[in-house]
Amino acid sequence: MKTMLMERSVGSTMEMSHLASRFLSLEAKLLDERRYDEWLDMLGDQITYEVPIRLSRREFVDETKSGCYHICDNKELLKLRVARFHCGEAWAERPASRTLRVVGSVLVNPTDEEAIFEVDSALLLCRQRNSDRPCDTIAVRRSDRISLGAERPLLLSRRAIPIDTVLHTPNLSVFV
Amino acid sequence: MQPDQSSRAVHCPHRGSHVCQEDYGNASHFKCPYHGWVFKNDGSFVGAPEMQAAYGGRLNASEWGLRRAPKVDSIHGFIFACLSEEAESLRDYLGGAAWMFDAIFGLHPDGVKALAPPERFILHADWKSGAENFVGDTYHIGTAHHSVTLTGYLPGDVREGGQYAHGFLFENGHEFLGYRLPEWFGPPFKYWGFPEELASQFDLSALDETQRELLVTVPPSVGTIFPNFSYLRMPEPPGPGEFPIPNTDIRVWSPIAPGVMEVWHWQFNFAFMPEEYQRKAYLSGQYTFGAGGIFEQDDMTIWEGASKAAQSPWNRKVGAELNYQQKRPEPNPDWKGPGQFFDTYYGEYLQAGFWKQWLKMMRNG
Repeated sequence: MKTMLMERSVGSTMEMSHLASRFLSLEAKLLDERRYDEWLDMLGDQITYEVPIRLSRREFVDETKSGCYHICDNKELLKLRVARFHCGEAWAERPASRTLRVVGSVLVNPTDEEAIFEVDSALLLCRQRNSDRPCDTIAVRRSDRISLGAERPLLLSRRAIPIDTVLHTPNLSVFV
Repeated sequence: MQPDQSSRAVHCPHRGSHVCQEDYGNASHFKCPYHGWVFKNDGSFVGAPEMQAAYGGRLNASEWGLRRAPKVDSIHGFIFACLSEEAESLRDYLGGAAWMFDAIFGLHPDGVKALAPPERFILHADWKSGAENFVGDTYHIGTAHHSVTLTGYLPGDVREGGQYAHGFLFENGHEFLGYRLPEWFGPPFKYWGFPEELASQFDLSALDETQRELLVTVPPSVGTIFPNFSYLRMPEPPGPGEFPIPNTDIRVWSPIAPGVMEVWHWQFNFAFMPEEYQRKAYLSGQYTFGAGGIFEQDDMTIWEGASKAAQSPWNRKVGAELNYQQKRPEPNPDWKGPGQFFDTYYGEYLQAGFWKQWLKMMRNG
């Protein structure tokens, strides 16, 4: 009995890890292909999407001072960013950045809520703009909450912590 | 914070290593990680290891503290350092712009405070593009920022801003611009749109009549203190369809290489205002004018062009000049405040003020 439970648990963890990785890979592909409306459909209506400002501090926990953000959006604000890209006059993305998102180090943990998982991942975002310089690299570690239930999976929250205290890209007009 | 405690170089005078490694926090002393020279947090020299054996005695403390800018002064809590011994006082240097600072920041005894540590980002654009834009380039808004109208984020139409804009031209290359916000968006936008219950707590007793009049008719919205300190306070909606609240944005356009700058971007608010209100102002300020801001992100890529153009051998060979030929207006003859006030923002007189000062500094040093 015990063995069976463990096996089920192992199987379940592997399955969830696979589903979470697949979800994040699909998200990366949609964003790289600028399929923003399909991306928005992957986000929960109550999503919080945060990119904190990081400081150089001795202790890791002090580096992302609470309440200090490059970006702190809800779904309405994210939809407005996408609407801006569609309006034809969002000059930061005209021409659009060509991006490559590499997602790795995916860790999946259950939460108290059924079918909702804490998913940690690392994202390396290479961004080539209309420029003769090499691509900008935006590197973040993300802590997500993802619903992987029977319905379509949804990103419920994201906190993406950049490694840069000084961003080496002219703006954050790309999603991380 | 006392001005003289915050304006020391962080390079060790011994071999130049950084004595402070962290962006934020408190420390009583700084110890250089290279040879162990120690400085108090006011920058004064405390000691070095093995002084007797290495130097034959104690080093002269007055000579070996962290290097201090010769002139340091502050206004409404903003600390300015000047590297020239001969420079005039800060208030004298600011001239009429100090009067403007009083009207913008001197509205409450508790003053203003930074809401968060600065956001910093590096872009391949010249620092002067940012400084020149913030003197009051209303002309770009209807094109560069048209998206905020097309998406319905801002009420009204940003292309109409020119009708409501006025320039303030001061000496030494300082310029500001204000919009007749109450006329453009309605009476709640006197005092930039701070709500009545907060605006009523402003103490305007130190202001003159012209300053008080400005705040209810043409609240100053943007400005540049020459060379690279800029200000912006505009009401922005926290979300689509929500009532706009003013953010107070300060940025320093710091040149770090030819055609490359690092932007230091702070947000401020009046210290007496409720925390929840300050937070809303901070977040709407980031959404519009942070590195990911829906205004800011477009400017940042647009400005990259000028730095490339400036490096073009062809442009240099032919001595290419950009177009600053808008029809110059006359200043308003009835203006009672310092400097000059104009009934129209058209005319690029603000930009001319900035560039004349730059040219003067470059020619005369």
